[in-house]
Amino acid sequence: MKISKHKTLLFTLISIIIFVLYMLPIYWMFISGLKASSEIYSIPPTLWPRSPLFNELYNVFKMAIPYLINSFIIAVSVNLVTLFIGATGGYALARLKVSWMKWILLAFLIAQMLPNILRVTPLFVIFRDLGLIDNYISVILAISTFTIPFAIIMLRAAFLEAPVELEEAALIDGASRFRAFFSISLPIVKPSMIIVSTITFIWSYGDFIFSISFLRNRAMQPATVGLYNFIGAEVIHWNRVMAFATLTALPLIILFLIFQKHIVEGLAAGAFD
Amino acid sequence: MKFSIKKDQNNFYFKMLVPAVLFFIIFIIYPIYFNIRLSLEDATLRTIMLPQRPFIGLENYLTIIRDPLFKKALINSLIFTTGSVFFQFTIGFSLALFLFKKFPLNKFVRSSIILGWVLAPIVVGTVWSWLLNSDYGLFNYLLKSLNIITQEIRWLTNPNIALRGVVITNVWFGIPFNMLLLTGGLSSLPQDIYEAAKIDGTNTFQKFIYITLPLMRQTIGATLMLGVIYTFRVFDLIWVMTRGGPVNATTTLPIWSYQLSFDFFNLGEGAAVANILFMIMLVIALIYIKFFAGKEE
Repeated sequence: MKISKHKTLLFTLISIIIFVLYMLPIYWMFISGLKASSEIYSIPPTLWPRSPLFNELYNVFKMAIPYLINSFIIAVSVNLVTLFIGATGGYALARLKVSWMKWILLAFLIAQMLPNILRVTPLFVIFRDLGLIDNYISVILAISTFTIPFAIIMLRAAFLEAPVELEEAALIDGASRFRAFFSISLPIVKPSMIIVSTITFIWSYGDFIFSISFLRNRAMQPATVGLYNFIGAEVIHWNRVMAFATLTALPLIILFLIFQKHIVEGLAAGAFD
Repeated sequence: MKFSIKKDQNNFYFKMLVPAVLFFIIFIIYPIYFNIRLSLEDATLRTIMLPQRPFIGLENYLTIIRDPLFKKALINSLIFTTGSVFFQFTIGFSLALFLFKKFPLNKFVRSSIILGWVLAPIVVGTVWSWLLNSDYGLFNYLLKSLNIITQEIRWLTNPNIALRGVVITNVWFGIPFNMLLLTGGLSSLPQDIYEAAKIDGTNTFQKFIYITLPLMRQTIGATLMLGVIYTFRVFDLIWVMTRGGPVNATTTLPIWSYQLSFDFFNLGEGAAVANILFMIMLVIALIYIKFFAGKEE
């Protein structure tokens, strides 16, 4: 639809206002984290810190580092589990021609929609019986219960597009079936693997309910739980809390800037399947 | 020869399916079954260590339903969900429609807004707790400078208002999701109908009511249903902001289930609440799948 020149200007202005309004909470988190304790409570609030305190941010950073490392350990591990089971399962479901396929896909779709609150109580008792409380494995497996259904649905759709003839050619050349899968079909679905991996990272990095329930040992908790505990401990120092929030958000913001396209695709595809 | 290749091929596919099926049975099906069993047992701190917990039938469900908090949590869940979905959808749809017009920055603004969805719910809840702080929060300050309010609103500490505080936060969090799905729907609309309408002299409002809305029915339905499914189960955001307080003003079904299981260590009752939630969600999810799933492309 073509629009006139002065309308273009007006629309551009409105869109800038929308942008500013929507981004305001994120901007406020950033600058609140750079303010001094005295300045954070000044009224009217300052739109830019009088003298940005990067050393305060650095102090919080030193405290946050172990939590951030834990977040990465969990997110990367969930990614490995999810990509392995998602790729093999998605591949099998794309190639198998069976009448009960519809029901399997339905089961995975429902699994993805289940509330985490439904899994947290039984998984807690199960993992407690297995002695896996205060062990990363419990959290990694629990988060995988909703990333794997998503991965299987996404990757099955991708493998449906990968031509089986290419694999057959490799088989004639003497490759094993697994090799044909691994070196022929898997590279074809790489774009979908990147989408699944990015969304899986966002979800597992953001996990809170499983980590706070299964990881009682502070040395193992991820940044989300660290931030939650930090609010309780630093209740009067909102500048320090915002600094911690900024540091927790930063990896996700960087990920967003790099993989924006994939996130948008994954968000739309994952929701509608 | 050909037959054996086919058979060998299917064997390989079944082998590849093994990890997914095993994982599904052990970590998804079994916990659901386990949760049902747990809800029929006397599972408290006292009995949790026992190899065999006492079976008490529907006792936990009866206790839950008799508890006045059940009605409150259910109503809170309904208000939280309808409030969030209504505003997320309305704002998301407005943004989708507006940013669908072609002008500089439209794509930039649209993709920037997705950032909200990427942030962890705990981060969003924390940041909004600060924004909604009664005395020093930016939100009250802006409302006061615009003369919308004269006295500070205690967004998260007044029991009559706290639910609105968490809804506002969740609306901000949910806008990108709604906007993105509805933009997808808009871009699949056939443009020639609009061209024809233009020749007929239809105005923007008429085009929206008579062309866009009917053609978007499927996408709108799917977006609303998914909104309900994803909002009804929200836990993290509310937990970090209010923990269900003040005086249970923001206790929804997920929050109550968690409190029963992990604050009071009454795992049987926590499981019972989770199962009631599960039943409600299963019905909504099945309606969604029956009418909307997979019909987008």
